[in-house]
Amino acid sequence: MIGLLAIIIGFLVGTGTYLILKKTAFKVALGLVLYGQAANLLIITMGGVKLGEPPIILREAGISYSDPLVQALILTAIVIGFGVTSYLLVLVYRAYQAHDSDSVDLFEEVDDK
Amino acid sequence: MINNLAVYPILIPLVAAIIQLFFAKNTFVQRVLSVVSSALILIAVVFLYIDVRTNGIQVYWMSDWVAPFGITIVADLLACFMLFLSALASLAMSAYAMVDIDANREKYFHFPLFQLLLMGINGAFLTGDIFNLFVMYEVMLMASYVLLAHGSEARQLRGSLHYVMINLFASTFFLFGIGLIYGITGTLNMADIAVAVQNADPDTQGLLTAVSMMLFVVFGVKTALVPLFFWMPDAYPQPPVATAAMFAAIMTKVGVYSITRTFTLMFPGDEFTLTVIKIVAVASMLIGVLGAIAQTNFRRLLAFHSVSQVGFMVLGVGFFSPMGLAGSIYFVMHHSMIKSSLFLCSGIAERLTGNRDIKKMGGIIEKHPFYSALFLIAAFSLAGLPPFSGFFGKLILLFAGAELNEYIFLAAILVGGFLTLFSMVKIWQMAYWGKREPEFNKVKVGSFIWGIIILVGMSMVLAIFVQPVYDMVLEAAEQLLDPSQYINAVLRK
Repeated sequence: MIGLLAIIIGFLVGTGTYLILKKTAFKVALGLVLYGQAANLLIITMGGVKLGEPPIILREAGISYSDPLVQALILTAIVIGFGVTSYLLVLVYRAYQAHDSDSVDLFEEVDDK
Repeated sequence: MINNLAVYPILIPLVAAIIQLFFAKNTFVQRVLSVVSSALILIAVVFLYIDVRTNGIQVYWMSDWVAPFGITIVADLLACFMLFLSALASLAMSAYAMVDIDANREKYFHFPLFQLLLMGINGAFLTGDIFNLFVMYEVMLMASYVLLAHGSEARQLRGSLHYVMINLFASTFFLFGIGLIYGITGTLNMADIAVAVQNADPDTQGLLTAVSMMLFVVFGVKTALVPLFFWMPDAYPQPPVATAAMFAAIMTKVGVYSITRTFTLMFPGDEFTLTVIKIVAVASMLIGVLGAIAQTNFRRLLAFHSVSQVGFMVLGVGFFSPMGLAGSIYFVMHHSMIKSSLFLCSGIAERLTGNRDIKKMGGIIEKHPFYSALFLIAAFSLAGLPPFSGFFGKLILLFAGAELNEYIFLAAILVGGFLTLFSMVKIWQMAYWGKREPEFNKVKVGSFIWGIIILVGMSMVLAIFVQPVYDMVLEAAEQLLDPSQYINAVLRK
């Protein structure tokens, strides 16, 4: 299970890096989204993946339980990531409107007087 | 010691922002509340500082969840100094924003956003939990994203797009680091992490160093260290001056604070990390100032200087001696006041001449000698000429380097200081000295300079009372170098 997750995280980071190196602002934004997902998966994995265990320690069930903290952490991270990503997408769109281009480079042309 | 005072610097701006939202149409109330909130934080911080001095590090457990389990708010001497700076800067910036921010931005929540920014910054200084540090960073960054793009001018959008992208990338990296730390140590409380790292298996030492370097990259992006600074000269010239000055005054210092905290508490004294920190610091010092010399855009020049000056602060952390850390803290205080007052000065110059390029300015001193004198004091202080505060900051760092026989770094400090002087003189000669440009815009300079007077005045206090201030920062540095104080206070051993 952990091996599978590791492969998925690696795939997400690899794809994300590829997209971040693109010149189109929208693709960079997508790459950042993938990075965020990879980070969330990594945190889940770090809590130790256990299938079918409750997140609370039951007195009769012994000590095997799945870590509830990592789930709380990625919940927070997902919410924050969602907010920032939607803001970034709006910003990309506004920049596209203002500069009539979606390229990260073309923005350099704007001179500050 | 449980102490409620420690949460006030986070609560006051939050409450102020909420009240301001109720007065969405009434900008006068919003302005007054901004000043009141900053003043209240200032008072709370002074009381908190006295408490920390007399009773040791103050701790507040959120909802009374005891230390490694709940979120802890910790106030030590360093945190008090940083809080003082953020409150002082926000006071000066609120005074300036009253006259500077245009009606449109005021109507669309400039002041509540500013208070939320302040809340995030103060939270980052106070939190004792690394995931909470991430959350506070996000609060701060979210407010800064909006403030930077506020007004949606075309060039603002470009600067903030780059800024959001690089910071979102850094935040993700931060999450990776936090995940790995949790995997290795099984805890998120900074004091608890420090204990776990001390007792760590020698086998995991390499992994821990790698993680600490990941955090260094994250904080390096926020502070704009070489080679992660490229967003900064793009972002800082764009927003209204009051916002840019606040960013320069305290946002970059949040990164410096986090670096100090990480490498004195959680991963202290590792030979490899300290070498990396010192090399990066020297590179920032020299490359930043060389970049500044090449610029003629007033604010872009100042932004490049920030890169260079951050190098001095981080170098002090790299020395990892009481004197080095004391120098670093003193330098943070000096720079936070001086750099923001220089940004405010640039705002007035822009208003007077209607231009951002110093080549197209000139002769401001003829018409506004007092304001020009304020700029000159700030500029000389930044360059490190005696008897101003920048001189003492560099002097302490020089002594710290000499104490450790690190002569290469001494040379770097001196060269960096000299080049800073060169570029400051360049601004002075082009914009303030020389022939007056045909006409100036009508600006009531008198109503703008109050913020600058507060900041420059405080930096003069820093310079005149250098011995008592030095004793205070040295005490804070010694507290940092003895992490057991922090750990015992938080975990209540």
